[in-house]
Amino acid sequence: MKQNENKDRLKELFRQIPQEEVTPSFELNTMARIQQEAILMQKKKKSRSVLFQIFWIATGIIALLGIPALILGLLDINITVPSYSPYIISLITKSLQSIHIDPITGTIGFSVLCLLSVNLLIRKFIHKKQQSQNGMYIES
Amino acid sequence: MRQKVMAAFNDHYYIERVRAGDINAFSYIMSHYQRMVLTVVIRIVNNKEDAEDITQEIFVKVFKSLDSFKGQSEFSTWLYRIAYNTTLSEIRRKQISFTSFEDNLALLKDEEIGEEIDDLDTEEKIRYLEEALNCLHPEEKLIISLFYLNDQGIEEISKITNLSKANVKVRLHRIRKKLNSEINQLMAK
Repeated sequence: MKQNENKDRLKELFRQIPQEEVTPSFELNTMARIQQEAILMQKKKKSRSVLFQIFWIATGIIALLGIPALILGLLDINITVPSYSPYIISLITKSLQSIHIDPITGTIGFSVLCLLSVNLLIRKFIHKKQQSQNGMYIES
Repeated sequence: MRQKVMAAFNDHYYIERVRAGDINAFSYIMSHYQRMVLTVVIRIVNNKEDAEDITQEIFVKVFKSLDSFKGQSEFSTWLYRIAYNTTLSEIRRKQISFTSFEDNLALLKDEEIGEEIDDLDTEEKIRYLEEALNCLHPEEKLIISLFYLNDQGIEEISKITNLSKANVKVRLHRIRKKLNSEINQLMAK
């Protein structure tokens, strides 16, 4: 009982402490800092999304060059590039004229291009959706 | 007017608005908690300017990490957890000095505050309490302020401080013991 009275006495003392008032400029200053933080966060998000795009473009380029090279390798097609320069242009012209695209290679190449285009469209769509969902905007 | 508007919606409404990009909605959250946070922080640092700086830091952190609030606990508990950690780290960073009489705790008796305190006026009572609070470690001041000033229960304090409930109870007992003893000593002078 005595302990309870004691607890109440301490509690009573705390109850008598008035709630502190913030200075008039506090809220304005804090909101100004928060606006600055929001802008910084937005910039960070943008730079992160640019890095993300660069990564995917690089992946796309690698895929674009790598996949046909892999296919050529798998189909055991050898492209020999002559090391002596005087005949290079004429040889390239001749070889370009004599290129016969295998229907399988053509189909795979075309499919890769289609998939990359779809990939680009999906990424653009996701990026737009993310911006509208998470993007910070500042009301005037 | 703002109070009336605020009463119509709860914290989660404003949190969702801030998350959706309406930064101005954060001012409603701030208006709701700033006085309570400042009242606790000012007891810890004993300086209104420092307390306002820390309170501002707390709200900036709350804003920045609002996306990580999953609603698993009360928003106030989550906010006071940030307030607790920020206050302690700011005290360490700014090297705000305090004096503690931790050493002689074992010698202190389990005494009550003398009845004479009832005869004192409010200002004197608050002065004694504030002087007694200055003898506590900042962490102890935060715990007792959360318990008495903000009416947080043992469970909430346990979540805020990341201490076990048993530990919070023990600490509260030790803090009360220290405060009672110090207030009695001050009154005897």
